[in-house]
Amino acid sequence: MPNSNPADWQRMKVLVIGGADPQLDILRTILRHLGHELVSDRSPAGMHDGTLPAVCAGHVSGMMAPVLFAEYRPDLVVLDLEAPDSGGYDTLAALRRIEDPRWVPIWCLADSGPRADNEAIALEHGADVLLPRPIHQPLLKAHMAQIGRFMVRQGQFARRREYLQAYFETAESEIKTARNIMDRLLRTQTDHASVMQSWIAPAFKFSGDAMVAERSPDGTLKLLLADGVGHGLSAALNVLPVCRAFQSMAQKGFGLSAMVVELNHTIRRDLPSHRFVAATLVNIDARNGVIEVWNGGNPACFMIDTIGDVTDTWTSTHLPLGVVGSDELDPRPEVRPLAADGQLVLYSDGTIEALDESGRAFGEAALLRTLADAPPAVRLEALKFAVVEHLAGRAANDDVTLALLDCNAEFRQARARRAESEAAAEPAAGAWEMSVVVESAVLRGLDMAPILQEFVSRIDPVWSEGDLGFTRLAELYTEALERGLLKLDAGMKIHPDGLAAYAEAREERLRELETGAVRITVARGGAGRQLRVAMHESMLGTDTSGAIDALWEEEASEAEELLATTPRNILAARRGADIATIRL
Amino acid sequence: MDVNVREIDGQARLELRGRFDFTSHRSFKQACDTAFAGEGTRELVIDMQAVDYLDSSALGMLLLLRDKCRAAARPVSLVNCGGTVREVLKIANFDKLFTLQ
Repeated sequence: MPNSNPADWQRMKVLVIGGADPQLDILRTILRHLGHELVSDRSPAGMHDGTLPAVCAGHVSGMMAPVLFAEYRPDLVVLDLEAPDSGGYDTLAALRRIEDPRWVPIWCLADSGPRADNEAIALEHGADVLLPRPIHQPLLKAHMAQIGRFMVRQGQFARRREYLQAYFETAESEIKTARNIMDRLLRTQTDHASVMQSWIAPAFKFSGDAMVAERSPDGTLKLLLADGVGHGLSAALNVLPVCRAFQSMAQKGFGLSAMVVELNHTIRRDLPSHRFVAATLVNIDARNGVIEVWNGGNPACFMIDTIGDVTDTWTSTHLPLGVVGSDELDPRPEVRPLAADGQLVLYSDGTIEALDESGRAFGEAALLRTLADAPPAVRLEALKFAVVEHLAGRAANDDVTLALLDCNAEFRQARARRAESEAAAEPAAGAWEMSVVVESAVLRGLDMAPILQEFVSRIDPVWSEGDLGFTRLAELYTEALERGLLKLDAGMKIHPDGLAAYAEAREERLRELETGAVRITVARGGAGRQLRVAMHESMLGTDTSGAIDALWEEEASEAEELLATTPRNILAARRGADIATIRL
Repeated sequence: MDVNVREIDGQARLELRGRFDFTSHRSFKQACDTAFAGEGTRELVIDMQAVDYLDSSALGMLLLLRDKCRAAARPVSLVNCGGTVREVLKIANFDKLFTLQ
């Protein structure tokens, strides 16, 4: 940090330009006497290999002045304007042209002509002080003292500037590292590129927005658009744990409700209070033609068709994540049919709030108009262009995020993935059976499919490889739960509004399962045999424990019988036992 | 953002003017402290009439205020929310947390 120790400036380097002159000699003597160093006192050999004739016996010519200035960076220059080879005002101008981060005072020495005129001309040419001849010693010393004070200040500023420069460089390099880490952590899988395009423009170095896409083991695509409070690094740090939790849960195959609860919990547990995150979670299930959306605090997302009409809208119906406890949060997504030729449009509020020079926001209307006017393939580019043009070179006041998902491409990918997994022959593994007993109430809040998958992948890793393994298990689980245990009618889904009604009925039946317990059994009879998932009321908590084995055997044998007659999707119902099977 | 605090009959009224964003943190906090310092203050009213922009940091500040009011058992309401302000509050579903008028 700056200090004002006079030692710092007591010894200055002075470049005196001029020849043999008694007045200049006096000046040189005084300077040496005050403890300053004359550039010309350095041995010419030390300066320029002894080859410079212009530096000899302490005399410096105007021609050499710029070279010596650049080489030795003096703190003060004294120029004798009237010395025969000093170069006069040309030398002064040449010295002033040399770039130096410091400000180096130049004193000029002159004696002919009226003093005021000389001084005016010298100052105009860039001199700081005009010293008249003969040299007046007290004036010279006073000027030296003034320079001394000035040098102290200059030293303080220089150190402060160096400190800030070093700080700036460290900060920049840390920001670079942080950004790199963040990009790596939020790196999305590349296979989404043909399905989804996105654009994030941070308002400041870091974006507090994040757009994450992750494919679940069952082939569904999960999307998250998160917008943290504020922007810059602090907002980015808020969003990061949310995105990581999202990615991890999506990879394990959890559904949106479970994710909403967990993400909300993550924010409340890990982030300072009121660092909430507006979030839109989307689940695209192309195989079943279903889209689920949960929007808490983000602008509405849209489905637009090929001609640009909005066919579906999901407005924010929830509080942003992290605002209230998970028990006050409704984690259920809206379930709707997935339009085959639609494009899903997600964007953060920074997009519609981007201001032009007159302070007018871009707005939702302009966004929709831009999308509608462009052909589907170039809509994102068109929107980017429109936003950039609207901003007209100014930075947005909030992070801007846009994402477009092509449903048609997703449908095609889903088909291709299914065909691929079906074509891959799966070698056989041995026989196994496992069962889990949970209280019925647990089923309401917990999606058991990813948990079962976790077990199955340990026991029968070959079987559970790839999309299809998970899909089959998830299907069987859903069948057993919805048709078997909850007695829901799959036919409901066919009607236009049936999906929502079905989801509602499912929710209601789950709520009704208040007491008792459910046994979930997953089994494979042997190599090449079918996988079974059964769900039935458990004897847990009842006093007929002795009967369990017999009961189970009976059910199992019935299931085997059914398996023999029907190859696929069998539902058996007896005493609450429901079994769905599929040929591997 | 400018904040003007008035107190009438136990009601502290914070009149906000201008852009309510992350740069307003200090002035908003000071105003809230002033409003809370009033011994006789029974309720807080935030007048959004002259607010022309509201960002997510502002929502965070409102949440903090809500917590503070809850702890002190003083009701808080947002009044004169129009245009952009209403839009932002609606998107964030803050009508579930605050009385909006």
